[in-house]
Amino acid sequence: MSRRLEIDDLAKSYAGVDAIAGVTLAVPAGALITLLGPSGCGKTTLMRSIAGFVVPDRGRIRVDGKDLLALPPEKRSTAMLFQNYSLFPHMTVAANVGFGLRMQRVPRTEAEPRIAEALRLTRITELSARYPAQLSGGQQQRVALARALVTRPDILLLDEPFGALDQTLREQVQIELRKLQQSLGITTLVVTHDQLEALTLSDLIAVMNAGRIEQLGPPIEIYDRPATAFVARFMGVENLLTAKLVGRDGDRLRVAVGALEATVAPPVAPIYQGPLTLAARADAVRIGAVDVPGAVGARIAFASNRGASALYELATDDGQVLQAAEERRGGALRAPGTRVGITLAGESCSIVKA
Amino acid sequence: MNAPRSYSTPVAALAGLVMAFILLPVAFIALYAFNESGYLRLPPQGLTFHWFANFFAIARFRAALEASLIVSAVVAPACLLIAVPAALALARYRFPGRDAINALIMSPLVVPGVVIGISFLSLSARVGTGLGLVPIIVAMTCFAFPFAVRALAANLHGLDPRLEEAARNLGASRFNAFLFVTLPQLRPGLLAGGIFVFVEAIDNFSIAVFLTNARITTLPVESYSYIRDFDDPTVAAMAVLLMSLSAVLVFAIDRLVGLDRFLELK
Amino acid sequence: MRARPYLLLVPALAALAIFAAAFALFVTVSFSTATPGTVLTHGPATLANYRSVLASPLARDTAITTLRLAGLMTLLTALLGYPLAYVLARSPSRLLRRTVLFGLVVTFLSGGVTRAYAWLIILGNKGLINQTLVALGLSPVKLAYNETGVTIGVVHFLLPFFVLTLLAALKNIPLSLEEAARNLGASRWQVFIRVVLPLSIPGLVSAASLSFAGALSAFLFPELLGGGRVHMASNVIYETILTDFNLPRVAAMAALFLVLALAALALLGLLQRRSAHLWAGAGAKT
Repeated sequence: MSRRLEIDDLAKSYAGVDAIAGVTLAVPAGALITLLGPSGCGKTTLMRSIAGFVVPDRGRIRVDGKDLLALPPEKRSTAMLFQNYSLFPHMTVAANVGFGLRMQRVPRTEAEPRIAEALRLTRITELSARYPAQLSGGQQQRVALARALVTRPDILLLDEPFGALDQTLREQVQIELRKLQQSLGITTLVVTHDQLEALTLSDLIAVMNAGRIEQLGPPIEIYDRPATAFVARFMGVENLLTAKLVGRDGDRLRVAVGALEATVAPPVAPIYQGPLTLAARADAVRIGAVDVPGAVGARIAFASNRGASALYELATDDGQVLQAAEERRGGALRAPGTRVGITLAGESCSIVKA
Repeated sequence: MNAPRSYSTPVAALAGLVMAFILLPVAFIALYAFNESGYLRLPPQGLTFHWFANFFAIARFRAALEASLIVSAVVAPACLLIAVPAALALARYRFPGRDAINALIMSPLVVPGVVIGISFLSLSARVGTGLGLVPIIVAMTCFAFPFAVRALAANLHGLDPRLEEAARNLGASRFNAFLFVTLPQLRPGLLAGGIFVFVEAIDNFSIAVFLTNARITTLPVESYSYIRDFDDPTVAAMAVLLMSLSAVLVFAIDRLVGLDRFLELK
Repeated sequence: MRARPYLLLVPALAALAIFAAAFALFVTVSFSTATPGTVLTHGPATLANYRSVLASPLARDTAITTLRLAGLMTLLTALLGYPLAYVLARSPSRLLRRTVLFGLVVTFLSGGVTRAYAWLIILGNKGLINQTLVALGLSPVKLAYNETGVTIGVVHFLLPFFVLTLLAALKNIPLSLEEAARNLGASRWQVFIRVVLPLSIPGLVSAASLSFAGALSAFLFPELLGGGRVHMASNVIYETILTDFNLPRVAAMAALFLVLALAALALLGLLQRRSAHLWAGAGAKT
């Protein structure tokens, strides 16, 4: 049965430095949420607080309304997939997977079919008699997952689960894990610093920075409409530009970046003062002929190939440096030094909090 | 083609000579122990087990061997019982005074044996236990347990503390996590620490010599006084027995935990 | 929760307390006066024992001999042990490495009495070496019952400790660093002097400290191989207690010896701590 996870004003500091500074978060039953952020943002501390390895200074953690903080780690039913898998080196795969059931004193007759089921779900049945040292990284990860799932935990915690896998294996395992998680309906929390992984896996993403949640939302919203400059940068937005409000167009805003103008949606969170920051992905900077009306003159300073598209570094006539992406459509790259005219596509830009 | 070696032939030859120097007495004493004549002559003459028989025929040697074995057999487990919790505390917890306690625990290792011997002689004179096995066992335990702490702490530092967390996360209590996950992985440290303490206790001379008397002696003390009084290979026979014991131990170590691993925990 | 590490330390601290009690007692004894004809002592506290020990030329000579011999033994051990440790760390032959390691550990575990005795038979006046010399028509040399014999015995005793400690440090020096130096035109000797030796200094210092501590407290070897003619601290203390059962005076000697030993080791410890972080910033793991 799926459980709802609620975190309320959770805080923890080490030697006066906040690791998490008042985090509030509700995860609907059966959802997969990703805590995304750079190292030191507090995401691991938050996960370890849920598992019971960190005792927070204040706040609450509840699963279906039941307070977790009163319980020791072994009573929390928050199975964790450790970053390095933490398989017990002196036990076989089957013994590793069965460890949780043994601790719960589940009788052998019941435990054995459950172990077999977990091994089958993670497709490692044939490895059951091996020791961890005899397994590849991908196989170890499956064992760790089977070990976590076999106890039918309320909450599944995954700490950088794919960090040790190579790129092709990683994508395959991510999709497999997502399918398994959805079919079991198990509320899951993933910690990662990989934005692509977060976008692939999640129902919800919480982008964390300096112990706080900067933005919480579905992956598409986080990608398209970052709320802060930090989120924009972390989600790979190439251009963060200082903009000036020059007018309104219905509920949309007209802003100017130097001589460039664009009409954009209002920011996710209202901004009351100071200069505006415009987050523009490289593909929002459109390259055309010099004489297009409204275009600003620029020179191509550097060109690099991205496969299907090209990435250009542009120096505008009013002294700005911009990154622009352009579909190649089978053509060659534009030569450095070429003069072009550029415009800004407002629908691909967002106003963010600096 | 072979990879170029890091050292030149003369260096290798020098190393070989040093190794020969290290092995010379061991090899030589083995020859001497089987030598028929009590007087040394090269090449060795005859082959006899006479000196082994002689060793066991001497009542004082039998008593000393028994005493030494009792001492080591009590001291080794006692040291491990003291060392396991201490090593856990030092390797797994950060607490005020940790570095000071660590230094304190290791301090018996730098005190010269003779000073330890005299201290425990003073203690047993004051407490009134007299000399004998009990004071020897107490002194050896107090002196040798740091070896076991060191081996076990090195072993624990090499373990991943997240394995215990993983066990807790899967429903194990703190004690069960220790019993099922940590303890099985401490086997190398227990073995290394135990053997080290055992050998230290069976071979110790400088402490034991102060705590033994005419009635109760240990093997090293008894052989020392035998060497002073007699000039025959009986002690060489005893040495061969001890060396065989250590060779068996080394084989066992190699089979059970690997020699390299053992040396890391030394 | 917070008390747990302290609880775990209780047995160890109890053992240390016994140790400390023994120590405290012997220090107290060193400030008392012997009751003649008995093992008993009586007060009041006096510095007389220390004064008499410090004033005796024997104590001064013993201190000097002990430090001098320990230094010499450590130096010889390092000179002999380094090449062996290095070859052991870098030998491409697994069989050779294992065999040498095996020999070292067996020797290491085979005990002091055994080895001191072996040297006595080899180096003695009618020992192996002198018999060979006589058989060859040469005159015998005096190898035992003097400093030469004691030094040979102690160096032999220390070598396995030294080699095994240094070996651990040498194995941590990546072979790739040596390859890089060779690749940049250094000869084997230059690689050793400029790369291996500097990187091994922390390991060398700790192996040498261990050897020095062992040499300082050497007791059995000077006792057996010195034949009463080599006065190292432990022997002088032991012989004093045997000859004139004056426990307070012996306790004072032992206390002074302990101070001397701890001071020398503290100095080495300082050196060790300084050298331990020598290359920490340079990215080399030592």
